Amino acid sequence: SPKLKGIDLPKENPKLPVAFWGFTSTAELWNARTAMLGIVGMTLVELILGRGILQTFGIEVGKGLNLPL
Amino acid sequence: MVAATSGTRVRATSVLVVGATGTLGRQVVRRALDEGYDVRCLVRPRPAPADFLRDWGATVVNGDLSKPETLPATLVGIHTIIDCATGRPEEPIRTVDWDGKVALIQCAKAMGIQKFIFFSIHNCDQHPEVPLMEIKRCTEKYIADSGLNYTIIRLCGFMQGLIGQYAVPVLEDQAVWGTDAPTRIAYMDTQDVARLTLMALRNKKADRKMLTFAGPRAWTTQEVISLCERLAGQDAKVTTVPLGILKLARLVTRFFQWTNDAADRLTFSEILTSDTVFSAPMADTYSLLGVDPNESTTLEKYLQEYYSQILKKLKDLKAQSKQGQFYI
Amino acid sequence: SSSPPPDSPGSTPLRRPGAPSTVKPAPSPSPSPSPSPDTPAPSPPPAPAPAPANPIAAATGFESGVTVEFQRQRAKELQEYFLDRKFQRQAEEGQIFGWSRKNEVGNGRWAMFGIAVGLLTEFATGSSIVDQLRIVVANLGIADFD
Ligand code: CLA
Ligand code: CLA
Ligand code: CLA
Repeated sequence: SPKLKGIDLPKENPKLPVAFWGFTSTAELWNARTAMLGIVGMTLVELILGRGILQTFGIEVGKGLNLPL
Repeated sequence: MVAATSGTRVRATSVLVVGATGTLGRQVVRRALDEGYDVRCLVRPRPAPADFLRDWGATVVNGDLSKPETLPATLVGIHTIIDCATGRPEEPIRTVDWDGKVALIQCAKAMGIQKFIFFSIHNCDQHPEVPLMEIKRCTEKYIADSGLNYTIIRLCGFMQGLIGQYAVPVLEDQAVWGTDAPTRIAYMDTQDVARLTLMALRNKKADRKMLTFAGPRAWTTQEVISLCERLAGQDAKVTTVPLGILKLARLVTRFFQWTNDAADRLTFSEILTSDTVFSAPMADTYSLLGVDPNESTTLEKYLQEYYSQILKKLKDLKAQSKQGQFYI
Repeated sequence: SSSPPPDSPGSTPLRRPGAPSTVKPAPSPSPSPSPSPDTPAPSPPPAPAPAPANPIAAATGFESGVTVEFQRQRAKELQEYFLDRKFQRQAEEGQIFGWSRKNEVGNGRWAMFGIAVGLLTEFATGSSIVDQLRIVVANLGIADFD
């Protein structure tokens, strides 16, 4: 980054609270990272096992969503 | 350093007021113009510009603290900066109050500004959990470290804000929102703040010092409301908001990204819980500036003047006051 | 040395049109005017100046050693510095390909969406994520897995 000759930057920057819990940027970031790992991981697991993830957990699949449309 | 001995000298009467359209800024501009300074006002470019500054006789230049590249041009030919600016509630605090101020201080140091007056908040070093106070504390430190000739003025509160919050609703029989906080705040008339600021500007004893300006007396919310009731001759419909609700509102607004700026402002409610007195002893300050303490307007006199003016006007026009209902 | 400027201490202040009349300011605690080295022979009047004169100019005088030209040059340098900073930040944020925060969040959003849709579809139809990818590729005409 460009430097300004002769002028110092502030020695102490304010410690402002960064919102952590809730619908915030930090939450989105961590959920994003988890999701990226998760999707890659789940794909690999499914390739190896040959079955679906939900099937492995015992959840019944293939019954369709009972959404009244 | 380019020859400081040849060329046009910067006039010592040239003042730049940042935040000139604000409650305090406009009073500083007015007072400085009355005392004979050449006042330059830094305002943001808008479709409907603030003409009243030009009508008074000040020069208006366009600039924006959140865009630091606009600042250096506005400082050419300036001897003193009086900084009354702050971010609006809907803007994020960081850009204007920290990044903008840092850029302004850097420009002031680089361009040889001879005096920098900065307005801060009383006891800002004792509340690091409130973002604005933390920022003010770091700004004060940066100014002191920068080597500028500065005066930092810490303020406790303005009387002007009480008009809209309490005086008008009491007059119009609207609901008055208050908290049950026992905090006492020493409100001060911004005209007095401006007057004292300009005295400090000329006084060498105020160089590189931090002064606190507090009003003549510290008031609680309940006391202010009773005063308004007495002067208006009407009873107020007071709705007390328990401080717990404010805290809950703060938690909820912090939960969502878009409401984070509002959450920052709500942290001020943290200060209202304890039995604090937002005031400071003024005897030394008044003697340093050589000012008579009795010249400062008291809240009784201030509200009395407001009510007598407005009640007289209403009586003349046989009208009803409807200042609070601006959606009608 | 420079010629005396028009509003040297002692002359009446220029009144701007429409400006309110100058309030008679309270007598300021007389700070001694620091003698300006370049002040020409007609010396300025003493600090508590006579009423019509501008007491501010009389009191403070031209004590600053800074010239407008110096300020202008520094202003140009500062402006370049701030513009450099702004462009650098814009360049960082405007990256389409690369390790930037926006890309991380964007890829993450796609991944979150994909997980949600994938799991929902698997629950409804019974085909695993790999199966779904196979069907997508087949339907788009790219390749056939049979
Ligand atoms: C848990 C994950 C998560 C989290 C914490 C966030 C958080 C955020 N997002 Mg993000 N987003 C996500 C997932 C997430 N997002 C996904 C998966 C997508 C892709 C569709 C996006 C796409 C997206 C865009 C395009 C934008 C954001 C924005 C934002 C910010 C402001 C939003 C806000 O306050 O509204 C609060 C959020 C809500 C009120 C939504 C509530 C959702 C409810 C609880 C669930 C709804 C269920 C839903 C109907 C099920 C459908 C699932 C479907 C995908 C199959 C905030 C930081 C905005 C931003 O960055 O602004 C600066 C913005 O412009 N997001
Ligand atoms: C099963 C998928 C899954 C997983 C592994 C995670 C994982 C995580 N989430 Mg996320 N989240 C999910 C789905 C998921 N989330 C969904 C569907 C939503 C709604 C949009 C959110 C909304 C969300 C928010 C708002 C936040 C997180 C946070 C977190 C992190 C903190 C862990 C924690 O303390 O919570 C423990 C988490 C679990 C035990 C799993 C939760 C799974 C729940 C039960 C999913 C069911 C949600 C359901 C649809 C109800 C929606 C209600 C709606 C009305 C809001 C962690 C990385 C926090 C964070 O990032 O902090 C920095 C945070 O603030 N998540
Ligand atoms: C494509 C998505 C993506 C992008 C663009 C970024 C971008 C960034 N990350 Mg992030 N990150 C990601 C995914 C991503 N990340 C995932 C999935 C995780 C969970 C492990 C993280 C965890 C993470 C942490 C903990 C940190 C960052 C940081 C950063 C920043 C610094 C650059 C850096 O060092 O990156 C490093 C990025 C990684 C180490 C992620 C590696 C992603 C790999 C290379 C993806 C390659 C594909 C993978 C091998 C799977 C292949 C599947 C295939 C076989 C089918 C940058 C904004 C740092 C930061 O914020 O600094 C300010 C930081 O501290 N990231």
